[in-house]
Parts: sequence; C-alpha cells; structure tokens
Amino acid sequence: MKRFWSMVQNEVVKIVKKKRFYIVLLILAVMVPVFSYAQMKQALERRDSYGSDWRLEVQQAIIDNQNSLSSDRVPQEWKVYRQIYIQQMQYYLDNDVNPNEPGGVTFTREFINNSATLFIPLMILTIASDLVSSERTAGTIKMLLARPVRRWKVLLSKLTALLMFVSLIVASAYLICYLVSGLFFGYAGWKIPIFTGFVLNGSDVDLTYVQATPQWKYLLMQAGLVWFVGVVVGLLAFMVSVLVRSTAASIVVMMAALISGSILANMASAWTSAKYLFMVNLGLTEYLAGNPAPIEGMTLGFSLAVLAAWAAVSVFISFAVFTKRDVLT
Amino acid sequence: MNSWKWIWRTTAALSAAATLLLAVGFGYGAKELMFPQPNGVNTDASADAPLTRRSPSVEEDGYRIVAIGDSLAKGTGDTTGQGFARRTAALLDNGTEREVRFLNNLGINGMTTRQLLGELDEPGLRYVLKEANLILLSIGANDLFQGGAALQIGAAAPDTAALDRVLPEAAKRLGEVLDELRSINPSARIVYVGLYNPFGDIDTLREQGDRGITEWNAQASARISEGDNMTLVPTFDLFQRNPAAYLSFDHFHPNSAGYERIAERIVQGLE
Repeated sequence: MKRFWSMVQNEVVKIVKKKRFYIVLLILAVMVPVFSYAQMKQALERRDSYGSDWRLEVQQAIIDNQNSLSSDRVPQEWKVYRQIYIQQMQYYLDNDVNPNEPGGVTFTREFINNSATLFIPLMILTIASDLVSSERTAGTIKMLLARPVRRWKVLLSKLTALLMFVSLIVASAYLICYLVSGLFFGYAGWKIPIFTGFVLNGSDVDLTYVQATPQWKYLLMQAGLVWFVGVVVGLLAFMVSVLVRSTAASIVVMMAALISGSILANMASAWTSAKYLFMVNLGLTEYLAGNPAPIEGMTLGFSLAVLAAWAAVSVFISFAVFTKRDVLT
Repeated sequence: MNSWKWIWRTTAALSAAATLLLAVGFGYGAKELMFPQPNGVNTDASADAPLTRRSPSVEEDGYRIVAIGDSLAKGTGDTTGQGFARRTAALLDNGTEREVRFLNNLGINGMTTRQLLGELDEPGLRYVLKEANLILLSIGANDLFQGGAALQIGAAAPDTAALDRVLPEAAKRLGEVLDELRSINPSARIVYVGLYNPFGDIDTLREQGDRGITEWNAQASARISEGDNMTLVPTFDLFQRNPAAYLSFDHFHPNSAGYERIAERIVQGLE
C-alpha cells in the first residue's frame, strides 16, 4: 500500500512539474476578469434603463417573454423554455427575491453554471488527456513498465493522481472565480436565497417542491454536480489517452465529443435516443437551476446513471487495454 | 527531493479536502434533486405574496410612467419599437423640467379586458403600478375586433349584432379595470387611450366599425369622467381621414407616425 501511494506521489509530482495545473490556473485567472468586466458593463447598462429597482426589470422580462409566446416565429421548444422561465421569474418576483442579486457569489454561481459543460471539462482535459499518451510519445512508458510493479497498479496510480487534480481544478475554479469577481462586484451574497426544486411538467412548473436555498448551499450542491461531471469527463479522457498514441489526438477526440455535446443539446430534442450519449448529459447543474433538460424524459437520476455507465465502461476499457497491450516503441 | 515531498504533501492535503467537500456537495445535491420535499406552502395564494407587502418607494417630483394593456400600449407596428408610451415619455422629457422616468411597458399583444383583469392580480404588476404616477392604458380593441385577425384572414368584421352583444360586457369590464387600477394606485393619473376605427378606408366595414367604436368611446368617456384623476384621450379623429398614412402594414396597429400623434395628444392632455 505504501508502495502504491509513493507511485501516486510520483505521478502527482510529474503533473505539477509539467506545469499543466499552472496552465489551468492561469487560464482561469485570465478568463474570469474578462467575463467579470463584461458582466459589469452589462449591469451598468441595465441600470441605465431600469434604475436601481430590479423588480421593474424582472417584471419587464416577464412581459417581454409573454409577448414572444404569441409570436408564430418562435419555435415551440423555445416557447416551453420561456413559459418555464416566466413562471420561475414570477415566483422570484412574488417572493420579493432578486434572482440576480449582484455580487461575487452570484457571479460565481452563474459563471460555473455556464462553464460546467465545456469550460471546466476542457480544463480537466489539459491534465487527463496526456497522462498516458505523453509517456508513450516521450518513450518513458518503457521505463515505467520495466519496474517490478503490476501494470494495473501503474495505471491506477495515474488514475488516482488524475482524480486528485479533478477535485483541485473544480475547487480552484470556484476560488479564483470568487476572488476575482469579488473585486468587481463585492464579496457578499452567501446568504441570498435561491429557489430550487422547480419540478417541470412540460411547460408547467410545479411549485410544491420549491425551496429557498441559501446561495452557499446552492454553490455546494452545484460544485458537487460539476465535480461529478469532471470525474466522468476525466475518466473518459483517460481512456482516450490510453487508446490513442499522441496527446494531440487524444485532446482533439475529447474536444470533439464535448463540443458535439453542446451542439446536440441545442437541437437534439427530436432525436430522443441521443439522451444516452454522455455529452448530452453533462449539464447536471441545469437540473439544479430548474431549467428544462435538452431532451424530454431526462432527469438528474437518468443523467447520473448514463454518466456513471460511460465512466465505468471507460475505466474497464482503460485497464483491459493497458494491461494487455504490447509496448513496442 | 525535499521540494517533491512538499509538493506532494500540499497537493494531497488540498485535494483530499476538496474531494471531501465536493463529494458532500454532490451527495446533498443529488438527494435534494432526486427526492424533493414538498414545501407545504400554498402557491396559489399570490394575494399574500411577500411582494405585496412592500410599499412603493416614495420618489421626488417627476413623471414615473407605466404603460399597460394591449398591443397598442406595447407599440406593435411602430418600426422603432417605442409605441405611444415611450414617445410620450420622450415628449414629456423634452417639454418639461421635471424628471421623466419610464418604468415599464406592460402591454401584451392580444390583451383583452378580461385577461387584463386577471393579470392585475399579479403582485409584480401591482408593484410596478404602485410605483407609477402616470398610467397609460390601452384596452378594448381586442374585445371588439379580436386583434384584427378577422380582417386579415378575409372573414367579415364583427357584425352589428355581435358587436352589440360584446360591447356592453366589455365596457363593464373596462370600468372594473379602471376601478382596480385606482384601488392599486389611489393617486396616479390614469390616461385611457380611446379607440379608432382601423377600417375607415374599407367601405364595407367603415360604417359598422364607426358605430361600434363611437359607442365604445362614449361609454368609456362617461365612465372615465366619473372617476377621479382620469382622462380619455380621443384618437378616433386621428385615423379617420387618412388611415393608410398612419396605420402600419397590418392595417390595424398605428405606424410610427400614428403613435407619435397619439403621444402628442396624451402630452397635450397632461399639460
């Protein structure tokens, strides 16, 4: 056991020395201020047209969406989406709760919600995609396997190191986001109530389960869901990294899968069996926010099961291939 | 070798803490979402929603304008999207020293008096109306003409009998709308925009349209003169001589020039 952890230690130090994790932190540190600034500009512009009273703004958003419902040019799925939006906004307004109370915490919630399916998985790819393939590219895999250790233990130590960094990436995304956006919007907002538990029946919103959740609790749940997505994406990328020889190919394969997921989620509502693809199920945070799933019949339980199944299969393939394959180069 | 140890120890410690926290969050979130607990709150009782208890912010002297009602209030047909509501605000802003704030345009396409009465129960709408001191109301045309759709699909405009049947009920509901607005906001000035006949240049439709609308405007005017701090702004004559010049392509809603003329009327009535 002690042997195993020293192998994990070896892998962790390799990842740190390769500066992959610093790149992730650097990207976050550059991107978050850009988005914060854009959001601040937007907020200032809105203040110009609605004054300081958010209630007027929310009411206008409700009316504007109601008007778009009567337009024939708006597709039916969008109408369902808007009907749900109207009911949720109405609920916030009736309860005198600002759905977008400005602040570092709210910004973090929104930012992570928007980056859960693409941006954060991308950060995880930075580390996961070259974990095995880079050893092969560099030729160091021979040395790794020449040691008197079972192959599966070698792979497991890499996998453990990856999972450690998945947690670190998700946590540091939150931390950097909060620290940086706080400079723009202030650091308050942990206790603002957020409504969760909107149960959707078609275009109707069932309000019997709605709870006012303090924002810190919301962030905790959101982070957990993002983490789960990150672990699954990490495991899949890990498998690709075992299967594919070059790191570049490994990243491209995963990128293509992730991007096709976000495209499919926008247009696959007619092709219902697409819901068994992992990339359509990455938007777990949407369930928390009470937004409709991209394909009818998808629930949190369904998505978790689909993701878990894909993750399990990819772990199995990773180990099966890695332990059997001949290493020639 | 020492720096390796240090890297490993911090990474492992931080990662273990993060993993624990995230796993707890995941478990909690999954539980909350998959097994939600009913909140036991009666959601239909919008009458005692927390927003209704918020008293309006008392502001300094100045116009605080809200438009409410149908597509005319919304400004449908105006290529600039302003409608008479924002045009009124702009004219007032240019013409007076007082500060002019346009709060909300609550107009919804196809709104009838009956729907509006229902909408007025919404706490959000009531809140906005309480904030205003000038309420611009346009309603009734959809009760009488069903949104002009009858004309577009080639069917006959409402025949005399149907108009006679619809009109008294709609006029009664207009009275209820005005009462409700007054009870929501006891002090605001309410300006009702009278109806015009969009079919003035179609000979077969003009006569019965004119008759119905004159009757409606007369009843509305009588009702409004009973009320306190209410005005009816007549628009019938604006579209009588040359409707084509002031109506938009749908031949029902005003165009930009038509809305501008309505806005001028409203402002004249206020000064």
